[in-house]
Amino acid sequence: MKKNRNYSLIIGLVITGIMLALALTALFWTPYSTTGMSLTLKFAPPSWAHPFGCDNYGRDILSRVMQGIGTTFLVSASTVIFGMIVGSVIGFFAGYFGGWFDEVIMRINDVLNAFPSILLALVFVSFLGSGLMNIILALGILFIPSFARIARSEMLRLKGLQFVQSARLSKAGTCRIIFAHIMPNAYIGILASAAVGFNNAVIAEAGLSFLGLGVQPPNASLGRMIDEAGSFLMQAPWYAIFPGVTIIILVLGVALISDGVNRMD
Amino acid sequence: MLLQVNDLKVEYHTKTKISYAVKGVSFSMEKGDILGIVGESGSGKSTMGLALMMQLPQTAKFTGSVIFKDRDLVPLTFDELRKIKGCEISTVFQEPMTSLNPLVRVGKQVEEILKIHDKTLTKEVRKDKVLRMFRNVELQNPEEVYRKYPHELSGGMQQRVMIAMALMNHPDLLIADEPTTALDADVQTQILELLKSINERYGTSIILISHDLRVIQKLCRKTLVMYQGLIVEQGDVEQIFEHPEHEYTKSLISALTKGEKESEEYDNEAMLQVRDLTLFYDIKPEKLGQKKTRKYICRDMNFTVHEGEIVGLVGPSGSGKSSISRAILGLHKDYTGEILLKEPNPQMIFQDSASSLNPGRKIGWILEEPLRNLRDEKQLKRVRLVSRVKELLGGEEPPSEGARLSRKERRAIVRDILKHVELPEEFLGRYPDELSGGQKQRVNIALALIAGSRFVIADEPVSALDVTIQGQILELLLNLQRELNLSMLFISHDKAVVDRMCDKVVQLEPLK
Amino acid sequence: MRYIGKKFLTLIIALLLISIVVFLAFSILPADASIAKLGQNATPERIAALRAEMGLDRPVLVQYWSWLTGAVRGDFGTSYQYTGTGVASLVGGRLGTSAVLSLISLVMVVVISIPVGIFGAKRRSVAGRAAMTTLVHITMGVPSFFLGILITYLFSLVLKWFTIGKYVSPAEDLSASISYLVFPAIAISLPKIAMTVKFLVSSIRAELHKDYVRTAYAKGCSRNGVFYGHVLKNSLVPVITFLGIIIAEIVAGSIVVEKVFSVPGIGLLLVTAISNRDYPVVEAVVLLIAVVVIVINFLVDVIYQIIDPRVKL
Repeated sequence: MKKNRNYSLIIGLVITGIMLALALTALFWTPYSTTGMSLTLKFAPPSWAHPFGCDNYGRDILSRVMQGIGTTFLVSASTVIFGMIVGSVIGFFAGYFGGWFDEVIMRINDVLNAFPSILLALVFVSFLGSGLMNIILALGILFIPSFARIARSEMLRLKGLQFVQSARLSKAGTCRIIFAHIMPNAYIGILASAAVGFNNAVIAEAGLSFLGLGVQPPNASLGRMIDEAGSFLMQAPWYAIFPGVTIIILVLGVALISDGVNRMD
Repeated sequence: MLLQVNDLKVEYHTKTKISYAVKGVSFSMEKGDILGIVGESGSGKSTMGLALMMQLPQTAKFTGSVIFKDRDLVPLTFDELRKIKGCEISTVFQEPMTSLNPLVRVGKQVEEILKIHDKTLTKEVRKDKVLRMFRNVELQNPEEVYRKYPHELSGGMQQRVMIAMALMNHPDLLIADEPTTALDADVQTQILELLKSINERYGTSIILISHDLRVIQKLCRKTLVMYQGLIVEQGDVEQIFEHPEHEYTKSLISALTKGEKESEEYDNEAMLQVRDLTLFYDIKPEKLGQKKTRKYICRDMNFTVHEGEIVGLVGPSGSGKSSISRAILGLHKDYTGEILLKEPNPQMIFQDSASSLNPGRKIGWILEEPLRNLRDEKQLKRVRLVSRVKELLGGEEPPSEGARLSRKERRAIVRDILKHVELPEEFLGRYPDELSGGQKQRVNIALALIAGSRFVIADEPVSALDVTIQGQILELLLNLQRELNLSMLFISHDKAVVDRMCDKVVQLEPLK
Repeated sequence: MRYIGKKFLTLIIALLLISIVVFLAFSILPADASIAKLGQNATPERIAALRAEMGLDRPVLVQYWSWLTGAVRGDFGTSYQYTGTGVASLVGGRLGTSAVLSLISLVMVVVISIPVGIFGAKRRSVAGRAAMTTLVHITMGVPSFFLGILITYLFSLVLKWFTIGKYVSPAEDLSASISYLVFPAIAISLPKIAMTVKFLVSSIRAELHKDYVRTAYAKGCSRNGVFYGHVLKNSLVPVITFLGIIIAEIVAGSIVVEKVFSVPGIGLLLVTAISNRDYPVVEAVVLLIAVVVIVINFLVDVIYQIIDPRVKL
């Protein structure tokens, strides 16, 4: 057992925990209404009453950021879970059976994978339309190839090992071999990439919202806030900075967790 | 005196603890000698090799003195040692494939050692010297080899390249760390002969590090036996063989020279009959229009394994040993002839005990798995009978005849089999990684037997283990054979092991 | 040669696949182009007439073939939004800008991340490593559009090194164009630099433990001799494949960053076209980017094969 503390993991968990707590709190309570406008508070700089300042409609930025974190978590987590489940199953089967099935799946995968992720998302959004569900679906499909590839390579690594042959000799069925024998050895690799996927999803969602093609009002979104703030940089730089820094910290937290997990063995 | 080592100690410092790998070792060596260092893994022999090459990792601290040609190497700086390494002291490592840079042509890599130590040589002179040395280490077509990348050479050729590289600057001392362990048996012999002829021709002193006493015996006159970081015995190889003093040495030697098993006559039923077995595989055409070609692995094999008999299957690598076992297990379908089995599900004990147990599951789960998968009514009945389930459960009737095994029954069978392979019950809750190599192999044996199989194929079951552990596992297999009337097809490249284990031997020759 | 042949086949298949997907997605699936042109209230007769005129009543395969041959010649029809303007001229005019932007970004990634990666891999102290890891992680997590906003604020509004919106096209004045594009290029490449550095550092660290490194030391190589003569080349091999992915990411990054800096490239064109449902334009841009990305990946595979002798199937 190693005695030296896994600081990456601890700090990562703390940051992500705080972010998650903020998002959950925002479901029931925010310091101010996220939609309440006020002319007098237009571009109010950060103060004790409004730590993150106010935006062009005089709305409290902290409250909107809290709500935005929730949206980001919702979109990113659903996206990654969707991509992970579908991708892993496809990858497992492709890797286990090999042959033409694997060849076809992997070629399609290569093509999708070579694609800039946001471009594909844009294509989906352009004919599905924007909105929460469509964004989750578009980004989720995007993540299938990367998970499929990881699951497949884990499968290729593991299926050659003798314990799989030994399982076959013990008359275990194909599905049992894949899910009971091989999967327990593969999930760590897949979960580690889920963290990376989560961060990609955060940035992709923010990017789409920034382009005005992502989550639509009244849902607050960090990317959209930065987009709106872009026009008022001179008057209210904090309007852009706080949502932006929030995204960075959110991503950093998850990255540290995945780093810490990788370092555990 | 070429080399004198005095009270050499090596400690590995990690953040949490200090471990002692070599605990004070002294020996000396004359010019022109071949000195063997033998010991099992963890005995400190490899660490000592690294220390002599001045290649210890930074976490290692070492004290004592290593006096090479009247000069103590221990206090020297990295740059001072650099002039000695590759020039006066050279090394040959265990894995020739990974020891060569994959991206550089081997000729260039060998040339580099000249370039480092003598910058005045011209390119032509260097190439000429390399080619001459390639010829000296008996590499065919030196010009061609010169231009090859490492992966384009066979293991034996790669090791010859490594040896050529080590000899380029005519070193006084060559340290060979398990130089033949990764190679096939016949290539092993060739490389050992090459080392011997180099010693005779150039007078190069050689230190040969190996876990294999027979390798040492072939090449060395003197040897050190290392055990737990100490030298437990040193002197003439022949003398050590005849009059070993230390307990560890005795066990090493007795493991090698265990008497042959006496053959008994068997009239019992045949467990396995192989008739006119010809194995092949089809090579897919590489280009359009090419015909399918058929490559034969072995032709017209005939042998029988009777009940209670251990039959050895021996032969050099490439002679089809593993393919025959795969065919018997039903994993290799391309064959003609007949394979008749008395039991429907033959089991296998694999060579690599580490990868044959699922690392993500506990031992208990792994052992129960074959029982969980049993569905066939006949087999269920057989398992209940063979494992005496009723008896194990204290006379309690099993739920019903055709039903699958209950958790209670499975647990009982697993606990019973653990007793047979002499493992304590608390191992059921452990993961494979927490077991030693020998313990893992015991679990593998249990796994092969648990579903009631009384015929197993053992594919090199001990060749990955240390010598003393090998002895224990072989002993266990013999006991099981007696207790359970086990029949076995025993695959091995090791003649001594086969002699000890088998009632009769089937010899395989590679096809031309 | 067989390796390249196989990759070339994959390239062709990928291109065909993409063209089919794009064709189906934009020419067949969306509400009929004739309706898009005439509006929902058009009479059935007028629609039928226009469909015949546009060739939409032909079998799908025939449509695909004429669409494909048109696309190869650069003919993507006309834009819905800018009526009468050919899609080709719309895209063509902006292609140069985006190409220059991506190229500057790529050069930045390569030129900066390799030395920084080498420097980072050589750090041995715990503090040095921790500082490096944190810096890399933070930089990787910055969305490029936010970085763009920060750069705009600092260099345009505060330091006044450039004026946002005062973009000059490369055709007019190349050096003026580049000196404007450098700023969006920083926004695009910084996160990619961090990713490449991280990848290179772990690649180098993995190589340092390989057996051939031990051999090189045993030969009497100096530390630099081992590093630059043996380790570096081996560590860079996987980086080449990684750069293929990075190029795709740069192209993606430019789509978003062009908006921040009001750079009139194809990214900005794509985003406006999507908002306006201007399908011929979307189709052309998507196809164009896809082809570029696929061809680049093919080139990466070829380079990989030249550098690593082991990849010769």
